[in-house]
Amino acid sequence: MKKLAGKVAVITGGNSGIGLATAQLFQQEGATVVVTARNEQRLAETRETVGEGIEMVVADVSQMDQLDALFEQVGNQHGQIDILFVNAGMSMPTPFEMVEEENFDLECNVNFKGAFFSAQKALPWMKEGSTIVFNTSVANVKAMTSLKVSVYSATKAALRSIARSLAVELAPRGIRVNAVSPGPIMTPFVSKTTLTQEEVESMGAQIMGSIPIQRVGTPEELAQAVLFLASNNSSFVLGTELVVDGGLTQI
Amino acid sequence: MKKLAGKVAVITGGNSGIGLATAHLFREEGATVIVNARNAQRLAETREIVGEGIEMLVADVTRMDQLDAFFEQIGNQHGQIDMLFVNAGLAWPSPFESVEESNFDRTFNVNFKGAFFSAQKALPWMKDGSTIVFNTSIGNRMVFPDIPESVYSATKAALRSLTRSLAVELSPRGIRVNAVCPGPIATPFGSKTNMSPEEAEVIFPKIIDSIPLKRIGASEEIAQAVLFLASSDSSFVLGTELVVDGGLTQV
Repeated sequence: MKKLAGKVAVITGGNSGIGLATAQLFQQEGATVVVTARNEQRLAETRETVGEGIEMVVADVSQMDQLDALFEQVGNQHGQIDILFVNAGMSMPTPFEMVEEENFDLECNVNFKGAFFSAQKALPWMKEGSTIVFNTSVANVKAMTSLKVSVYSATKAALRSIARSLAVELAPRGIRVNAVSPGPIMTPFVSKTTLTQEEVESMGAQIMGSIPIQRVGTPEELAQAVLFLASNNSSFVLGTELVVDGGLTQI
Repeated sequence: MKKLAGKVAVITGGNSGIGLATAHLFREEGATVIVNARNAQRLAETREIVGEGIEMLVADVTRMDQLDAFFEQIGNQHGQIDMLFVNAGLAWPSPFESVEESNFDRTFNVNFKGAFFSAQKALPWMKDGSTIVFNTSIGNRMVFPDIPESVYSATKAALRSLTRSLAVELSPRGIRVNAVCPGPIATPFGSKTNMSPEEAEVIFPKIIDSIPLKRIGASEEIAQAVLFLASSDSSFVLGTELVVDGGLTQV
């Protein structure tokens, strides 16, 4: 018996990395999977690579009308949402004094506001027994010495808080909410930042030295943690943050 | 393919509750399972109920000679230990001013010293790819106003710290260390304390009321979390504490 047979799962930001790896794992476990991404062209490319079985919808989570359309489409087509993985996020590392309002707004709107309203707008389709998993980050509890990510970190701290509040607020409706907190993971996420290749490489070496397990993680390892939190295996786990970071935040 | 096929698992304090539920789940997943308990008579009774496939040995984790004999026997017989669940523990709620030295020593020796040396003495049999899971408790991060258990809580805080230290110290050897942190769980553990049934009847409804999920957990739900941490599903999870408490520590 597959773990997610008969379930409908929605993953925001499922075009690559953790979102896509989770989509593939959920599909293997028998779920109907719908993912979103903002970039239509990249989504089309991913669709070709992934093949059948994962539904891909273009939606910008920072745009309320697009979120409305997304969940209405999913709801009307599938009748329910059993699992929501709120994963869409972005980062534009910048020293504090150089953060411009435009970039501040963009990060907050995708990472926090988009996450908040993804959950709110999915809710009408979520019944008792459903689960929500937020993708936070170790940056919400740890400052990165080599990476200037004050805005990103703050949005993730806000998300960690939302996971706690919604866990308590939605528990009476039988909806379980938790968060997964990735450490450094090998994903195309880095390529979506403003960093140069040299910066990425020098930072990678620095970060690697500070991870007790002495390597970065893979999207597939994160996906296993999301599966645990999204499935019935975690039935008494609520409002918590499962840290998947190779020990980075323990030292 | 079963998740733990070919693996040898040792669980301390496997006579009942979380330890026994985990033993059952590990056996279902294909592992060879060895549990210990202190009380020979109770162990014999459990053996009759459990049947084949879980090896049960008498050993008191506070006695170094018994721990030595326990792990030597397992090592000689099975050649290796792939998973160690350090689970043996007890609680003896007492107001601070009435804690006697003998009870202090007993609680500390089982919960912390016994756990410490269980891990140390298992180590010679653990190879690259092995995992250790400590059983902490939400007592290490919160206080129940109605249950004065300063000693128990402190031993569990010590265990949480030990998890962190060993995660980093043993990582170069390829041994992954994590902790599971149960909230209130329906186990015979309660009956091993000095709490009277009358006291329990008053206290438990109050505790349940403070849990967002409005129920206490089942041993099987903790076992699923231990399985996640002990198996390769959690391959990038290191030094963390997975809280399984129905949201209790989030409010």
